[in-house]
Amino acid sequence: MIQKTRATITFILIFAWAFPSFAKEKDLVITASGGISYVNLQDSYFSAILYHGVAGLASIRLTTITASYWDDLSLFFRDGRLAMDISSAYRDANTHFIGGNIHYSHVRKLKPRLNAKQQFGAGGNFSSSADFYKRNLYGDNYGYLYQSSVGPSFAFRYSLKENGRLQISTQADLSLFSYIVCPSYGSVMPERLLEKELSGITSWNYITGGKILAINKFQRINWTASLTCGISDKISLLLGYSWEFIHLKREDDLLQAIHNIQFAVQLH
Amino acid sequence: MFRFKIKYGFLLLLPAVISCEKVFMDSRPQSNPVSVFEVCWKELDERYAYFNLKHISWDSIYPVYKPLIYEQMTRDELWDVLLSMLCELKDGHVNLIDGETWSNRSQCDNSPDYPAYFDFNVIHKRYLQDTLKSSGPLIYGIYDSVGYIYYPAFTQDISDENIDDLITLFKDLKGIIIDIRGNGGGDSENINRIQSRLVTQKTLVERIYYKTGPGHEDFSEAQEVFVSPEGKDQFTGPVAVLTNRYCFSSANMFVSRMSVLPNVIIIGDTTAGGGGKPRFFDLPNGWAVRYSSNYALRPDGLDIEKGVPPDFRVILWPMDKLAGRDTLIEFALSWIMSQQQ
Repeated sequence: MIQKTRATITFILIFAWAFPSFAKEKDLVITASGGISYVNLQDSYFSAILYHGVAGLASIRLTTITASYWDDLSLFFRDGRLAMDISSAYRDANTHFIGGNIHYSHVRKLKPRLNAKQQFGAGGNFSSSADFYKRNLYGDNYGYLYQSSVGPSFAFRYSLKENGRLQISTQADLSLFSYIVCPSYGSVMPERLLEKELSGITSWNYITGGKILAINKFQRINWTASLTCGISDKISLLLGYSWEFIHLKREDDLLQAIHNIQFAVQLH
Repeated sequence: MFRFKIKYGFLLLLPAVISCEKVFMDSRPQSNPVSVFEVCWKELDERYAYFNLKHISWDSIYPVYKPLIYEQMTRDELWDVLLSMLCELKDGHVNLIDGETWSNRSQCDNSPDYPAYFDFNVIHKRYLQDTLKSSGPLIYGIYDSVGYIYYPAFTQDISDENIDDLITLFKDLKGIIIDIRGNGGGDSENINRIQSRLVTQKTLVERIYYKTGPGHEDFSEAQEVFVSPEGKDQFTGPVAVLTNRYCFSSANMFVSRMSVLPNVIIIGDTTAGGGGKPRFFDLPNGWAVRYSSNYALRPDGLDIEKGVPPDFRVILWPMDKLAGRDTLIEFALSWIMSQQQ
């Protein structure tokens, strides 16, 4: 019985993987973008105050579009400074914020037609990100969060022109299950490292020292909306907005909301 | 019509979802004095590591200071009340911070005053004279075939090369004196850098216990700290560590970890303590509070927060200083000579 189930699942996975490659029409899009992120951070692990600030943003994205699906792999990197959201705070008490993100989503079109004016899709996403908050006054007292999560994705695209050169896209990616590495209650080390011999702790121990959480403990929402304007058959310009929201529920909650505005060039 | 609604309804969901952000993030505490006091008291209540070891009832401190807080009080008045409350912890790792302004333990009424038992001019003139040199932040010299190292602050990082050069130089000497009198601490990574050149095998030197929850007894099992041999050479001869009441934090930890080694003795006075790793938390008005977030024990169970007692208590009397003698160095030299037989 178990073998049959395993064989069926394997067949479905292989079919799902191989089927799109038989699609006759396939559009490969490379997107390079730059922009700014407006970061809101409330990390009760180290502060009773909201932090906010602006970070520079760079990303590169590889998108495959066929008649039946959208496949999207993107890499983000951001670097900036945050400050306390209070006027009486010491003005040089900046926090260096640095983060990176790998995001993959696979969305199947619900009404598969490559050039349809209006397209809906649903699928799944995998997101892995690492963010560090280094407070310049407080030595090695830093905050960080590494998360890898999987969950559903929903997408909608609408062509404003018949030739598809002006298009509105929006996509929501959620997390259901996540792997989280973050400071423990009383130490900057993750909980699983607290009883490990101190001198034997490596970076790899940090990466593997996390825990798996379901949606009741960790929520992530990525929402993107963009306007694409094709200026030729090979090149498009994109103006995008995305919202990334993370909520880690623990004794001291972590909330991170990032608003990104990007300008991108797409090569088809 | 239906398609039109779906299309725009989908887009309009965006601001609705984003407003969740405001709902969650607006629940942070106010920056008024009452709120600042409450947050400060609660943060320490849940995360300060030494209530039980120091037999402090934090609950009984709340009704003493809470009546002193009122909405219209100035920042200076609030600072004074919070500082008085924090002084109850008798912990040099507890500070109130406003930007670059830090309160310190000496501002507390219950802060003791101790003699330093140290004058570097005496050491220079009588013992080291022309041999005095430096390797990074380490000041060193040789007197009577004994190597002398003065390390003024663990905040000044030493490199592997700094310590390796000295160990190679001192390798064939009769002994080494490591003088950390007045060392107020700094980066604990420097402890291992020195100590790893003085051991020949992996040695357990400390156990650390971390807070795991808000209860005063919520601690992890012990995290063991070992030191293993590193560097080009190891010095295995007698080592004397000179201490006073101003060896705090990492310096205190250094003395504790060194006292475990069989070829080491501690000479001078009990160290100043500071056994917990400090942690920072922002208060709602932009200040921060620093406090000990874990505690450490020597392998034999000694709580190093209260300081590490010396193997030999030696005092530098004013008369000795006037006579240009350092009694701690004299004692260390005679002990090292006694180890040669």
